[in-house]
Amino acid sequence: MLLASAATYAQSVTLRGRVISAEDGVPLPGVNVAVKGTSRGTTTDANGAYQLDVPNGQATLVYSFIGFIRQEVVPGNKTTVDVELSSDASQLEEVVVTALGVKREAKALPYAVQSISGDRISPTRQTDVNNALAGKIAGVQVMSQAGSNLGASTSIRIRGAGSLNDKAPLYVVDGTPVDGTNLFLSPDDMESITVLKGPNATALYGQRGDAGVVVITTKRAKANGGIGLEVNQTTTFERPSLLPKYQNMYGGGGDSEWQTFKWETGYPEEWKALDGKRYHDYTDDASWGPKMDGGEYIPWYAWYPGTQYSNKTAAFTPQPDNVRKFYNTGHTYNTNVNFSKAGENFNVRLSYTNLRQTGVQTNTDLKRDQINLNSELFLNKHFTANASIQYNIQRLNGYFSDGYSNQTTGSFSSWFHRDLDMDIVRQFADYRSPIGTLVSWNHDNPSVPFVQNGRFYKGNYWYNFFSYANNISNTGQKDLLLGNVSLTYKLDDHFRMSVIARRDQRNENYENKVPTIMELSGWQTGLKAAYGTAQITRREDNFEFLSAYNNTAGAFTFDFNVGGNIRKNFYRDIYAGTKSGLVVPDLYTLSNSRDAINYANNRFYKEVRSLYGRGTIGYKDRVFLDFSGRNDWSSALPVNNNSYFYPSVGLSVIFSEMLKIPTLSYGKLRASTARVGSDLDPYQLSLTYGVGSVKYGNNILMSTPDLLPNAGIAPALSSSYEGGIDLKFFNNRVGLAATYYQEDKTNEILTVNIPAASGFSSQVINAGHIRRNGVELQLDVTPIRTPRFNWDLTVNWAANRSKVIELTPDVKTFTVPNYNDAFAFARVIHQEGQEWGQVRGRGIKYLDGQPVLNGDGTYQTQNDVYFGSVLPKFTGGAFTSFRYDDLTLTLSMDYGKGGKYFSLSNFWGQYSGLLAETAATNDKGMNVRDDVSAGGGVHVKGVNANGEKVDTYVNGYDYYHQFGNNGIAEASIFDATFVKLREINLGYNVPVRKIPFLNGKVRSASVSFVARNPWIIYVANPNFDASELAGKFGENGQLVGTRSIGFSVRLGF
Amino acid sequence: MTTHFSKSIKSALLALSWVAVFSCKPGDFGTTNINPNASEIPVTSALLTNVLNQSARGFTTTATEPDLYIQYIANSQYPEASLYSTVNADFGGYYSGPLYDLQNIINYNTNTATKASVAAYGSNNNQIAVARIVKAYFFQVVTDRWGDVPYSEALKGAPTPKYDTQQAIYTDLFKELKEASAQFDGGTTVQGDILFGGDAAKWKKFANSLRMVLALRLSKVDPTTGKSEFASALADAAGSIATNADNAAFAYLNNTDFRSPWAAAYDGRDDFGVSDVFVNALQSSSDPRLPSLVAKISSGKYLGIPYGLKRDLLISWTGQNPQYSHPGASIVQADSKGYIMTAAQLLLSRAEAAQRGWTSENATTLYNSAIRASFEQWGVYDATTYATYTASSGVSLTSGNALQKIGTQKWIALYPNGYEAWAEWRRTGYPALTPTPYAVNVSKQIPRRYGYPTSEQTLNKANYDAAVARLSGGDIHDARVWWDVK
Repeated sequence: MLLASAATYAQSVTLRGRVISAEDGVPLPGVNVAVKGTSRGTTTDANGAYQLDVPNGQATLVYSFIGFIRQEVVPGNKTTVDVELSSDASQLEEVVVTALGVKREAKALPYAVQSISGDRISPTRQTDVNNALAGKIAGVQVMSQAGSNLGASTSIRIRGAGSLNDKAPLYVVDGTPVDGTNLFLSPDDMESITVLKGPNATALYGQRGDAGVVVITTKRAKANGGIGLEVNQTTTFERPSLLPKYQNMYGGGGDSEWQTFKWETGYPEEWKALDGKRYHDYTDDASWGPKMDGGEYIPWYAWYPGTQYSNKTAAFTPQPDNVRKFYNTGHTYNTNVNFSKAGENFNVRLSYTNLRQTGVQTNTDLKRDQINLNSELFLNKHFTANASIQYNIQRLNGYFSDGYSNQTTGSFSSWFHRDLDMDIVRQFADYRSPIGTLVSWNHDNPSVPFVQNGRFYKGNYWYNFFSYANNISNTGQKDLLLGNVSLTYKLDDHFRMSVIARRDQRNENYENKVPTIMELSGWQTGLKAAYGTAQITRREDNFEFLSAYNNTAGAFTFDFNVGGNIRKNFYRDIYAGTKSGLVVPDLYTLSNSRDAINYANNRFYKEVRSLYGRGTIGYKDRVFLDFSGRNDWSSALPVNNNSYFYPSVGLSVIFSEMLKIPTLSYGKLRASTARVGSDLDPYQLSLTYGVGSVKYGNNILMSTPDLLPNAGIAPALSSSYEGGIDLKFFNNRVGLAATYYQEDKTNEILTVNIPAASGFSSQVINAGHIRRNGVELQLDVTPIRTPRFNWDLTVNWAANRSKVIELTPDVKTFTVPNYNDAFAFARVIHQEGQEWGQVRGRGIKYLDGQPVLNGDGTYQTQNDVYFGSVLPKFTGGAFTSFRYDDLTLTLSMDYGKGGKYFSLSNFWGQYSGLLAETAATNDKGMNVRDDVSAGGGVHVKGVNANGEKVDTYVNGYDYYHQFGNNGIAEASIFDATFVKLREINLGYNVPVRKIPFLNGKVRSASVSFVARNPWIIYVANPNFDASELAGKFGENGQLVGTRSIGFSVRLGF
Repeated sequence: MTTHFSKSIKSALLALSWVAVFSCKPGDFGTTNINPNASEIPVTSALLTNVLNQSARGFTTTATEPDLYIQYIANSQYPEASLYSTVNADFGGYYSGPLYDLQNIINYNTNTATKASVAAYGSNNNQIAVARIVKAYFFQVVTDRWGDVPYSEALKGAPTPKYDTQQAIYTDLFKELKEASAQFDGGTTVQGDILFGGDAAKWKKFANSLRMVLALRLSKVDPTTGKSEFASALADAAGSIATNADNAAFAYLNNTDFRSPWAAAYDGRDDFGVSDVFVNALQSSSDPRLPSLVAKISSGKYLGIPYGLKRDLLISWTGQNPQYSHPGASIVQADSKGYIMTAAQLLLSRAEAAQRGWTSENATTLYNSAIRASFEQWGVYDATTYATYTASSGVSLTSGNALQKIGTQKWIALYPNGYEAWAEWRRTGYPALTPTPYAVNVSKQIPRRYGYPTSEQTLNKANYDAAVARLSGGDIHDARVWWDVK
């Protein structure tokens, strides 16, 4: 930059000042300070200080710095002008990290790229990278997990689905490809997240980038004036959010009859007090019992001696809040301390994050410790050494299951008694029966033989929820080591070369213990005392070199990279567990197994070698031609066909530079096309035979695998086109980006189902043609920008269609493996000619749109009905922040329209008479459970098999049992539409320099109120949060979602 | 500038030479893609052990659904299956499971490149003979459940095998069993044979017995063929299963992996009781097998669950009767036997054949021997009770209704082998069973076949459609298989 000579301006005034960041008070070095309308200017030094001669006090000073909002000041009579610059999220996107970690100017990119950075990453400081993307990036569908499921990893889909296998995107942290599951990074350590969406952007990442790439850059130290210490602390409190609507009229039992207790010899003497009193069916775990009429009855807990309730009756009353009362208030403490220092020859940032969380479910907790070290050493003018290391340890304790009949929601919404007083259930958590067992609400009905043989004192299907949670021990530890070390040789300003070694290593360790008391306390619970353990090691190493060259020749700029990579994937696991119980009670060793232990042991290794290059040629900073090429060799492909090449090419034109349209500050047109290749998992080229872990006498057992391999498999290639426009108006205050894309994935390597009569149930083939296309829109607006008040708004919307155009010549249907509920009532199917991912199951038979009814008014059924695609029609979100002086309010919301899902909780919740509709009032004003002859029943309209109209009432019991009896999925298929306010942050930036006792001691300070999931604005089916489905098909009895509020403090020194 | 440039050139050359080194043979990965977890060649005896372990389990003799249809047992908590809710069932597991393993044994013992190496597990011919017999047995179960199924084009890895008619399948099964029996070459004993210990004589008896069972299935649809096949099997020098020592009985072991499926069913669950229909039938004829086949409740009584109640009525009943009879200890013990084919069953088949005039044997003698074999099988034989029982009017053949009595005795003798009993009931109509009044299927009748797996409608549509076109009433469980003539 120019430092103008003071001598030329006789009346000039010398101004001094400091430029700091408005957000955190950090001094900003390198800020341009210019006198408007002149060529005079300077830049700030390492401490943010500057000195500049100006013609006079009326001159306008312009302070500008990349990533910050430009500010103009008229100094007047002042000689010291300190300026605070606010960061500009829209400008931060101007430089983006693209494939191979190359930082590039956004204007040169021929494809859509979106980034979020700073406070936008997570206003509530949540740690799941994928959750942080919700609603912020057009075309990213975030599939969150229930908040009570501690440590559960959210997954995302970028641009719907492009492959028959619902592939996850590739995650890249500081250039290191990493496994996206369980990727928990502290928001305090993340500088930015960039999403590269289509193959055009990701071609250079190769095969693994074809579902998109999420590029995460962690923070590095910057020169600042303070001591470089920052402390962040967030404390939040959690409660369950959405629960299904339950009925509150009828109590527990499989039938509605009261039974009368008749004391007889063989029963405990004290039960005489209960003689002649009524009780409902305890044995069955449904809620088709008698009406909760407030009358006297014998509750489940009255039969146990030695309590305040022993041998006493109670009133049979509804307990509408019993499920909610099960949950505790969860706590999360997230603390981060980081140190950073940068000098002329180095920068180092060391960060430690401590997360302590107790869940809403009894006896669940999570501990996470994370260390992040980023350092760079500038050895001399040629060599730079860099190390970036991330080490996480996570320990998870507690019972978490999103599966069918889990011992929380799996009971509450599928098999439960609506009359249970949860406080009393809790009081019996540690109570021991006369035979020493833990007791349950779901015990047998009294009978002399069962009292005498002890069965009466055990749980029939269910334990006391609290006894279960307190006694079962499931622990898991995950260690994660991510990192890279590199050495860069910089020859001159044009040429440099790096060698880099990268590693992503995960070690997982699990232990599960079931104490003997649980085995003794259950009747049909199926639980055996047990000990199980597993150890899993995954490692990916990448060794790469990368050379870069850039130069200018006249109006042209050149920028090239050439590189190579060797990737090594290594996996090993050992699982072992006791079988059929423990010999010595509560001794948790494998050798204590009653039968020969279960065990398994697997390992695999794969290697991919690659060479690649890319380049950009720019003309006058207006037209950019971008191209890349990559060749991979994969060890998993047949030796004679294991090499594949894929190119990309794109063009962007900054037309605003040529057309000079008023109010249009920036305009770019972009278009690109690319191919991407992919391979398959190792060892899939020939049949191999494993030895079973058990022996019949001395005979080993072996079976032929059901998957028919294919020795002639070829690498798969997909091609895509993308075009778009980026516009900015009114001095960048309104920005609009629009993208259209189309991708054709052909000849994928697929494992397709084949008729099992062939001898194999599936086969590896090259086949298929999936086309996805869609539109993405993003609007950034700053409706109000004044020195004291600022309002930013970002809105995005994306529509995607993924269609299965062709499967194979023989097979027109692809059943997606493992995408079905526990009973396979509903499955996810790819059907030729239809949209990707159809939910399919047994439906109701229709004739001209009318349901066909049997003589008794129940529905006739139809196999294999397609209920629609699991993919939403469109997704999007809005992110907005209001700043008034030092007060900032940030809101983040997201929505999804359409997409189908199957709810197993709904399926059994209806069957068991738990959900509100099973005790609803019909159009005659009577309860659907009342006799049809008395005006009750569910009103059913339809036609008989001959097409004649039928208008009748079906007893509620029979109506809601028909779906279970005949496995009809249709009544539990729902639309996944939702609108959700996901995050709120109300923050106050403490003006430390104006507070005498803080000034000079504290560099920056802020406090915030935060809320996560505060408001589910709309869900199509109000019983379930469709944005948190555990499975791709829907849900299996999944854990409860949560809402949390808390506060956050940030201090910088 | 010039030096600068030359330096750049040097560096670029350096990089290129590195690329050259790196890429000298980038596609050569050596042994990297060889699976370290599994073998490239199967141990054929281990395949056979695996198949035989499934020969008496849910695929075949120990499936609860046909036990419900045939009213041996009743559901105690969730009655859907006893209300005939299952329409479609998957046959894929038979093919990709035991059937392909058997085909693979045949392939490896036939293929000249591999037959020498697998001869270590028994002579090639002996292995093939056993595999063909067991394969015929599994195919019989499959075709009896569904009717026309993939057969001639099955197990070839070809993606869309056609459905053969049941008639064609039966014809081929007769041929297979004859040929397989003749294929034993007296060479090395088959290894891994956990059913007959490699005893070729027993396998031949099993093959002949299976031929008789198949032949008798044709009693209505094609008695001529049935008669000749039956007579041919009976005349075979190797003989058939006539004493309990020859029974095809799988020995379950007293451990979790190989225990009786009935033991597993009651380990942590209590979903079934013996049905009142079966208990009452045995009680009314004072059948001495009752104590062995049915367990008493703690009061010392036998109490069957009323068959086919809908759920609220069932729960109401179990509320009043918390205890009900389970199958007897000789069935539910972990190391009990899984009977695949027994002397009692075969003697009754021969009695029926004699009664039908297919053979010149004495029906009454065979019938009484069958009852005695059944008593002995369950350990309840006593000369006096046997004499009383066989002389009682409901049992004695001489008092008339011979076919009904043979059918009823077979129903008792086959207990708890549901698929075979269900097939015989469909063929003979004996014993007369009343369907549950709470049936959830459209016809409200006891199912007569299984609907094809729903996956076939999409994976193998043309062949599926052709098979369904041959069914009267479509792919429903009220349609009848070929031999099930009204």
